[in-house]
Amino acid sequence: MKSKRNDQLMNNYKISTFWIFIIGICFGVGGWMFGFADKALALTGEEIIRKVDANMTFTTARTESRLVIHIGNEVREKEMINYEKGRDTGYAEFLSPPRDKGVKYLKIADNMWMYLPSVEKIIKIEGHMLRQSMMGSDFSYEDALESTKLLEKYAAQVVTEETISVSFQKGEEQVTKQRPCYVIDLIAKVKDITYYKRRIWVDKEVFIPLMEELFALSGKKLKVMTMGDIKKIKGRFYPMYYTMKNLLRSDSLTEMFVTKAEFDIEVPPDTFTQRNLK
Amino acid sequence: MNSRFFFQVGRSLFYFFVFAFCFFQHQAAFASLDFGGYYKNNLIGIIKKGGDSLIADENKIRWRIDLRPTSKILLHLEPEYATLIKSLVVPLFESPELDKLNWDRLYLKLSFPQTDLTLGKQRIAWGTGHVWNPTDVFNPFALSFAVAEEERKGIEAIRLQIPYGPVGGFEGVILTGNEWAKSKKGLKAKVNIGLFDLSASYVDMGDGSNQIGFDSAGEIRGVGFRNETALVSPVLSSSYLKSVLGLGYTLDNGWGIDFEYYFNGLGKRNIANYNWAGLFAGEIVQLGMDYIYLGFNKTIDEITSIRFSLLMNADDQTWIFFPSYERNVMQNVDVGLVAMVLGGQEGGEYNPTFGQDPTGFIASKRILIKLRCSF
Repeated sequence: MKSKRNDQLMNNYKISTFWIFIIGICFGVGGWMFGFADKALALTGEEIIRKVDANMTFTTARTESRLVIHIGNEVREKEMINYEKGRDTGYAEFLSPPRDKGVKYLKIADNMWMYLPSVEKIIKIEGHMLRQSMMGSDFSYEDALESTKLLEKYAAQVVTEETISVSFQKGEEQVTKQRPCYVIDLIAKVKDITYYKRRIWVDKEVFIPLMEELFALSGKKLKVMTMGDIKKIKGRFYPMYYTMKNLLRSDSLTEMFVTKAEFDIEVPPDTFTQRNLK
Repeated sequence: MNSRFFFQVGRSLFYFFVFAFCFFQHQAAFASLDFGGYYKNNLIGIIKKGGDSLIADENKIRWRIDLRPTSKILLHLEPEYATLIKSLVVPLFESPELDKLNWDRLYLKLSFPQTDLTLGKQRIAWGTGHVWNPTDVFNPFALSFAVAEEERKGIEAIRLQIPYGPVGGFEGVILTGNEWAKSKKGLKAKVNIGLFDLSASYVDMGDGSNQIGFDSAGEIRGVGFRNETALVSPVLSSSYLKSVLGLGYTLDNGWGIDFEYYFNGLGKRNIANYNWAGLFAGEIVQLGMDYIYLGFNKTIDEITSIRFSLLMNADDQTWIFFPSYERNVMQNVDVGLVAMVLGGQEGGEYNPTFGQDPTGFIASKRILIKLRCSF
């Protein structure tokens, strides 16, 4: 009787083991399948950068900005007006302060020119000069010249995903938000480039870069840029607040407040010409 | 005489009608008036070669006025007033017009659909060189201790610019005040190819001589490259070449390096053949044939920059060392400290003997404290 019961228990155990095994396989395969599906849906670094470009690229744009340059306890302010066509054609003019008023820049593809009203002369900003500070700010000419060709110069790879804290100034108020981001490394395909590596935190929802670290070939971190105060304009998202910190300088930070932005507007045809500089 | 008279009368009438047209046509539709400028003070200390010292203080106020009756018409005025207090006569300033109002730039610019026409006293800056500009012949700027390029005196001219594409174009210039045959006149064409700006020019000097020029600016593998070459054909002597080759690079640590080599075909390599008389008479600007410039600059922070410049006559190995420190102390106030030390082989261009330069000024050591307030 006892042995019969034992046989029955043994059979039940075998059946349970069998079902557990089957269920286990199902869960395992399912898990594997879900994982596979998740990986199939995940974006590559290149796709994310392309989405950022699509978001940040307008047919035409006109912006008015205020640059606030902090050097220790001292502050310098500059106002500028900017026109852009795509991301590789641009025109900028400084409106204030008086010492910088009338300085203009023209950018066409990889070329940049500066007009100095005091000498009534157009100067080409050659390769080496692009690395120098633009109007005393933490931004270099090269930073301003950046175009959609990022993927031509860099290979993009998703490193991880993380939530970062984004702070920006909105009027008198300091706003801080937690935003989930893709972290992407861009590694230069050539060595002769100012920023050999760039690490970018891209907002997962709106595909706007919220932070960027720029590195030299030696691995030294050169600059940190942040963006915030994202606004939806004409169906796209656009940052109205930028900061740039040049880590080679001590105790300096440049803030850029976009005070007015218009997109996909009519721009006079002569805007992006050297004629307009003079 | 007659043709010159008619040319000048014609020019005056032309200016009058253009001004009258602008004034009466658009005074009711006045669009904008921009007013700015700066005040500057230069305190200069000089120790002459013999050991004598002197001090001078220059004060200058300069206004910049842009009057735009419409978006197509610009009247640009830059009057200035300068004073100089000195303990001795200081031959540092280029014919300064002191203690009176000087209209340094005064021109009218008319923009037509395909052309810009500029009439009056203006700055015409040709060339791509940073230190030497052999193609800049209309009102050339020579590197100087006390005179900034923006203070280079304007010149009366008629200038026609025809843009071609976003960057290229054609330009015609004629200096006024002389009959056609004796007027200096030039043509220039400019184009952008890849990362390079290229231009070619021809200038009729008005005295029978002419100059063919070429310049370029761009980059090769991240290194800034510029060239400026002029082939000058004088009436009485054989043609000669002036050429500048410039390179520039900025290191990762922010130091900018600037190099220029200048070949002066009019100069002499042998120190014994230097034309000192021509230099003092203003007929030539350099004595030697080969020159080198090496500059290092760095923006320490957003408001402070330093620069070390060395200019050398490679033929006689005399040199000028030119360190400077500049700081933007307030939003619109800049101060600077500049020194100038000359040295090298005695009897050379930048270290002449008393026999060559009895004034002792050329080889003097100088220090300059600059203050500039923009408004």
